[in-house]
Amino acid sequence: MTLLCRTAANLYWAGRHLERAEALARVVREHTALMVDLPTRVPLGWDALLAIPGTPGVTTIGNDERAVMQRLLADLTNPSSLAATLGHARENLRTTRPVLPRGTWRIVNELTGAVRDGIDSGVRRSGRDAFCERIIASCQRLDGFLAGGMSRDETWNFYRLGVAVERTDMVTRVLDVRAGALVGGGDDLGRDGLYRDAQWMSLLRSLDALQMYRRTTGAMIEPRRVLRFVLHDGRFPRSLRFGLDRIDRLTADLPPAPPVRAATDGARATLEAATTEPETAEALSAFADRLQTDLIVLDGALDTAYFTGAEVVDPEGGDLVDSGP
Amino acid sequence: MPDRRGALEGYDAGAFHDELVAPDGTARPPARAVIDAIGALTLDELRARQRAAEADIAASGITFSLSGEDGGNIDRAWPFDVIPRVFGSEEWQVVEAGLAQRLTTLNRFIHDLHHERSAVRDGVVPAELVDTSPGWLPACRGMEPAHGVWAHICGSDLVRDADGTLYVLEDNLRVPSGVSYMLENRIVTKRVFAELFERQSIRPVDDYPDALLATLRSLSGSDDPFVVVLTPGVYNAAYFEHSFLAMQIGVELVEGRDLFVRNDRLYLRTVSGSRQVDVVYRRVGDDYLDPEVFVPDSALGVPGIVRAWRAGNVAIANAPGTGVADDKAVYSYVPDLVRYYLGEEPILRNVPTWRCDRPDDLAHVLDNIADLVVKPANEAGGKDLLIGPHATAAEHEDYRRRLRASPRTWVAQPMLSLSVAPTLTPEGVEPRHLDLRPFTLQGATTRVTAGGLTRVALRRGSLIVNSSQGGGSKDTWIVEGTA
Repeated sequence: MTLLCRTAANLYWAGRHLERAEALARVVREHTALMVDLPTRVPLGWDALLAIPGTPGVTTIGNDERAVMQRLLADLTNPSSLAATLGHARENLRTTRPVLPRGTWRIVNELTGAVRDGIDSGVRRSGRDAFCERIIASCQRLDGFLAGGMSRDETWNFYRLGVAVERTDMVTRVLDVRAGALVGGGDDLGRDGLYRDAQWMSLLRSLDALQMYRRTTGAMIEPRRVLRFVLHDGRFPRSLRFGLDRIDRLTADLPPAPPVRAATDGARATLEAATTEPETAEALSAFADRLQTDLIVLDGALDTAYFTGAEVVDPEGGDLVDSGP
Repeated sequence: MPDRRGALEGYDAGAFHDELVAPDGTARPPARAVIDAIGALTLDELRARQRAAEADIAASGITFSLSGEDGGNIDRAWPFDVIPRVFGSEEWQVVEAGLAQRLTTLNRFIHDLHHERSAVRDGVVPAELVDTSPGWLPACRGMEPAHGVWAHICGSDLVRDADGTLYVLEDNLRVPSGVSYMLENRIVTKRVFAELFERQSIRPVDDYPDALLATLRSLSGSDDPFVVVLTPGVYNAAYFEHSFLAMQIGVELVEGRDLFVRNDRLYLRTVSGSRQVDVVYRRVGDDYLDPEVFVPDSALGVPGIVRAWRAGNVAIANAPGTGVADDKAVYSYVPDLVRYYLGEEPILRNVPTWRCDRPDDLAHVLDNIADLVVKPANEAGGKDLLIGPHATAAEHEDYRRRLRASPRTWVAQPMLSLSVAPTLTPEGVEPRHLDLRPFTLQGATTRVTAGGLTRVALRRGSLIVNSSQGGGSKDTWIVEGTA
């Protein structure tokens, strides 16, 4: 089997963009639900969401719900908006159609239609929940279609690797943004605050993890356990450990590339070193930043090893030659 | 008894040759089942079928691209008319033989030009016509492509005149497009008009991808050649088709940047290292194929690919240099070339063509420009066309000036009265003008598609069938066992 470097890059990024869009929709849905519950004196704003996908121009928007949602969901001039992210995914998949199951493009078009038809109601609070549900469902339908129809070869591995890297990255981003509120002290959200549990539950819900947390731990909502679950549970697919294990297995199956393996090991070491209960918001935030940096290193290693395509050939011509990065 | 019931009520083709309906208003025999089925529907029911087809096209993402005003590309849904165009199989057998004869001749001609040039020596074709053709690439002289075939994929444009005669209007030998739409049109028709297929035997078209792959594989000496499709990229107007064909034949769709040449061999950049390529089905024009040989700043091609081809290490379809025979001035010599190379009479007719490089022809064209169609000798896609009878006196004068300035670049043809077929329009079912683009494959063997892509001018009275200029398309049927 032959897999073009450019195609591999597009599959990887298709996986990242689709997962990012789905995760963003879930976070927006849960953030909206939480904001509805919280009294206005609680210092958690709409603008906190803008930091999750790294939205430029955050400071100019303020805490206006409508403006934040416009920028985060609909604004095509914002490369991290939900609409733009799904636009990127579409372009990635457009150039990889020949290696994907027939019918993929029909589902991509459905997804594009879901954004186009629903984006305006998604900006308004009244239609947001239904919009987010539809985006999540459409992304999952596409992911499920690919999972059911793709051979488990390198093509699949690169797509799946994109999903795994993005899923891990998004967990660190959610933790980073929420760190101050989650482990800070002194106010209603803090360690002893009235709404402490509400926002830890919201964290779990934004990963669709609440039920699995309860089943696995049999425990009440307790910050230390929630954090341990999100960081270290080896069986839950949106935990950091699960994501990094998957990245490890997927990169092991790719053509050998030591820098990619080293980057994977680096990210795993960062997770191992993390305590289950960072004592301060700064500690949690610093951990999230370190892991994000590790994933950026992995991205760069993948790019050099697989996406650029070194010109190494056998002088006699003919057979496949390992570029041996 | 005229078959003008239901959606066909009031249908009148006027003075034109109608592909489906005879002058007395009855269905032509091969079109009997189609006319019955359309007549059995009300106009609203027929419109519902059309909407179903359009919804299917949108859902499947069947698109073509237009250049937008801002320089970007706009994807449009592929325009499709739900009423098929029908040929009887006996007529089609003649067309098939004629197209095969024509492509065989053109390949003999191209090979000859790059070797002995006997057709020039024997006075069949003037030397200056060849040497001044923009498609003539001296760099390709002396090449020996497999089977002596240079043009492996040809898309011919056929039109039918008022008296029912089919003419070849053009031979597109460079990077002819449209075959994906032929295949998609059939899929759509089967979905929305399935009952039509029960009552008659219609030749399938979906054997084209296998025939294309077999043709491409036959160009390499290797037992298991590695084949790729080379596209200029996602911004090319025909990208949909490039992607579609690569998918259908199960090969890699690649861009110039995915390939490189080392030691006169062509390689693909893959995640497992570099892989040598044996056959390239290129959808990049000659000019952009190799910056070492042609346009130096082209980023679409592959530096050195022509060297690799000349060294015999990679086959290219269509071969570089093929464009010399895709020239409307050369076109006018094709009947002579058939006689010269094959010693046969041409099966398909050429449209009479005046070549403005000949003083007598130029004089005739200047005098009669108001009755003629004037075309650039070397352009595709209906660009820069003057339709004399539809143009103003000022436009006639402008073209006279352009013809005198560079006679070699122009040809002229009589205005044909293009045939029509019933087409669903906002005004109801009306006659619309159409042409046909069948595709011929030549490698170790020769194959002609069963039908082709019918293009239809959707505006009343218009003769312009190009999808970029308001044209649509129809599924095209070869119906077995009818006269």
